[in-house]
Parts: sequence; C-alpha cells; structure tokens
Amino acid sequence: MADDFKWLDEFVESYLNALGDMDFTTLRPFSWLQFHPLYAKEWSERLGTLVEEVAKKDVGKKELAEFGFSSGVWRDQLLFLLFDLKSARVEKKKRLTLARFFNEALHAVLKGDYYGLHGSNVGHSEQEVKRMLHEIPWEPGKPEHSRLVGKLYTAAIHLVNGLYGDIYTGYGTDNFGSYDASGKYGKGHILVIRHFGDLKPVDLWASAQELPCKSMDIYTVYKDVQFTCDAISCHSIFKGDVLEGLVDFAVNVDGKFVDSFAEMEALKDKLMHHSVRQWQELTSLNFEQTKRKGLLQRCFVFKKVFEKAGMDWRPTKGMREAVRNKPFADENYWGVPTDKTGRKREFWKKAMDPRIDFYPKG
Amino acid sequence: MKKLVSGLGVSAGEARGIVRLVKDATDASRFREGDVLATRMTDPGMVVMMGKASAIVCDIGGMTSHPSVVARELGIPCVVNCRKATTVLTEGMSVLVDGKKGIVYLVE
Repeated sequence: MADDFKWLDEFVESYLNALGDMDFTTLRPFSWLQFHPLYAKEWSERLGTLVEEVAKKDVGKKELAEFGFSSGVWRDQLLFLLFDLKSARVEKKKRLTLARFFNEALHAVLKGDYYGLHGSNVGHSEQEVKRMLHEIPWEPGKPEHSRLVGKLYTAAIHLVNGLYGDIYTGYGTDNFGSYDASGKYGKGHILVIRHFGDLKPVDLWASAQELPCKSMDIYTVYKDVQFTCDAISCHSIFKGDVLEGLVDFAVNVDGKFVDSFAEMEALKDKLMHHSVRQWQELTSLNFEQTKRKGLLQRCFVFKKVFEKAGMDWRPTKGMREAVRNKPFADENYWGVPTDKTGRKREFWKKAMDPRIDFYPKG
Repeated sequence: MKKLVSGLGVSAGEARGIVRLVKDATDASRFREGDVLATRMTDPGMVVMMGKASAIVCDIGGMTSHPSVVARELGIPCVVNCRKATTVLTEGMSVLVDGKKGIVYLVE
C-alpha cells in the first residue's frame, strides 16, 4: 500500500518547488487557500461521486487522455483537491482513492516527468515530436518574429487569466517541452510548444462569443536557449537569448497553420484587446458574483469528465449555498507560517500529502 | 551611474527608457513604446503596456511571478522584488534596467 503512493513524494516535492516563495496575495480574484475551504466538503463529495461513476462506466486511461486536458488540469486540480480533502476532514482511505484517480489521469496524458519535478512538461512521445518537427510548416525565426511570438503568447495567456482566474490557468494553457530537436536541426536545438486549449469558453462567459479563436498552439525551435518549467507549466523559465535564438516557429489557430505575419499581428491585437476587456469583466464582479463565477470555472474544468459520467457539470445547489454570503477564509484558517526557517516547507508538505492526517486550524 | 534600486533579476538584458509609474490599465493612454513599466505588481490589465515596454520593474515578485514570465517571453529585462521601486523611481525619470544584475540605474 505504501509503495502504491510513493509517487506522492515526487508530487509534493514538485509543488514545494513551484509554490516556493509565491506571494498568494497577488492571485486574482482569489487564491485557493481563500476560496476553496468554503465548499471543500461539497467539492470533495462531488469529485468522489465523479470518480465512482467514472469507474462504473469503465472509463479507461485512454479515454481520460482523450478528454483533451493537458497536465495543467490534472496536476493543479489534484493540488487543490488535496487541500480540500484536508479542509473537509475526509478519511485517509478516501483521500488516497481520489489521489490515485488523478495520478492515473496524469499518467494517461503525459509521457514522462509526470509531476514536473525535473523541469519539463512531457505531453508528447518521441515519435510525435519527430513528426511535428518534420511536418509542421515552419516560418523562419528572426528577432522581430520572436517579439511577435512573445506578444502573441502574452496576449493569449492574459486572456486565459481573465477567463479562468489566476488559479485555473492550467485549464487554459500549458507549455510543453523542452523536446530535443537536434535530430533535425543539429546539436543545441530544442522545441517548445505553447498550447492554449480553450480560448472561447462560452459556457463561462457570454462575451466569449466575440473571442477570435478557440485554440492556439505556438511551436518554437530555439538554438542555445534552455527552457524549464515547474509543476505549473506556465511558470516558464528561459535562459539564453530568445530573440536571437529563435530558429523556426509556427502558429496554429483552430487547427490551421497561419502563414501570414499580418494575420498573426491582427490576431495578437485582437487577443490583447480582449484580454484587457476580459480582465476588467472578471475583476468588476462583486464579491458574491466572484464566488459564483469561481464555482462555475472550477466545475467547467471538469465538464467533459462530468458529462462522460452522466452527471450535470454545473455547481450543485449545495456548493452554491456553501459559499453564499460567506467571507473568504483568512490567513488563520490554514495558518501558513510566514518565516523562512523551514517551517513553511514542512507545513506545505503536511497540508498537501494525503497520507498525513494534518488539518487546517479553521 | 547611480544605482537607484536593486532586486531579483529575472529576465536578462539591458534597456534604457523613461519610467512610467503604472497602477492599472487606465495608465495605458500615457504609456509610450519603449517606456519602462514600473509598478508594484503587474496584472493582465497591463498587457498592452507590457507589450510596449522596454523593461519591467516591480516592487514584489519572484522568478515565476507574472512579470517575470512575461518579460522572458518578450525578451525584455525585468527586475522584481525591488521593494521600493514605485517610491524611488519617479515618473519621467530616465533609467537603465539591468535584468541580469537586478539593478536599475539613473541615466543622467
């Protein structure tokens, strides 16, 4: 039994690195530490039912992978769930059952470095990478193109922040890589893919109808540039000159490669415009609206899984009642240590690990 | 050159520009191409300004904070965790931002 969950050591270590010295007060419109405790019991029960229904319908790993979620969903949502299970004081056996389900999903969608501990996000097999390198209609990378790529990415990820809030970003975007591109380009070349799976969630926002595209993938081949990320793949770290180091790139929008720079510029401008508009829309919600939207966003992330299980994906009445007219949990709820003597790290370990009976003070 | 503030260099490179103290998206109308964006912490509402900025300087933040990630994607220097960037830097100041060393200098 203990060996079955050895993987949690790596998962927890990876998130200790990712969360590190993050200032959660900057997360907008809320951090999970503030909002999720309000309905942790209801959410834990809901996911428990979901996992049971999925098992009854014999949904295998292949199907889980075909939901189209990338690692960002399964990893981040597992992190949040682990905290919820402690908030709700769910018994250890059930905590581990749910954790196992998420781990199986991660193994279905990823090909390695499942928890992001080793600085990568491996969503593609070597064969898939080889095929991409040889079949994608590449555009030559020049410094001005690298700037365009950077602005396109920046616009899209800010739109994701506005659509999903800072903490559900993993549903909207994932960075994949780095992959070895030396077979085609020679030593020192890497492939990094910036993926946006759903830039038009009309179930979440009526205004999403106006958004210019649903999906976008930006493929970039670099020379003498290093890419790493942590458990949260949009926490990208590039070392080296990304402007001079761009060798080839390609932009795929809604399944089609864009071969016009004018089109890319126009798309960048539209995405920038909408990212500002969407952020204003998100941050102008009042407190009760923000909580209701937060419930909807979190449930929406699992929409396909809920539907596969034959369940309504929307927030339950119990969840809505649990958050209505309630303030966010304050810093005393979890009592996260603020010093840097190692107590903080120890706290996170105990809070995250479902094998440990550690519960919030609140 | 006189050192004004220092912090964590999270995106390498050097850039000169005029400081614009930014609070939110409403500051976009006075932000020009090549200006240095100085703020407590960036947010998505500042995306247009970030796209025009020659450098970004923030009071708080770490290696994987929002401005750090965006600056690396844009290939522009960025210094975060300066603590007092928005009080020491003043509107219209001419500065040099060294994103590797994590230092902002006054350009006389």
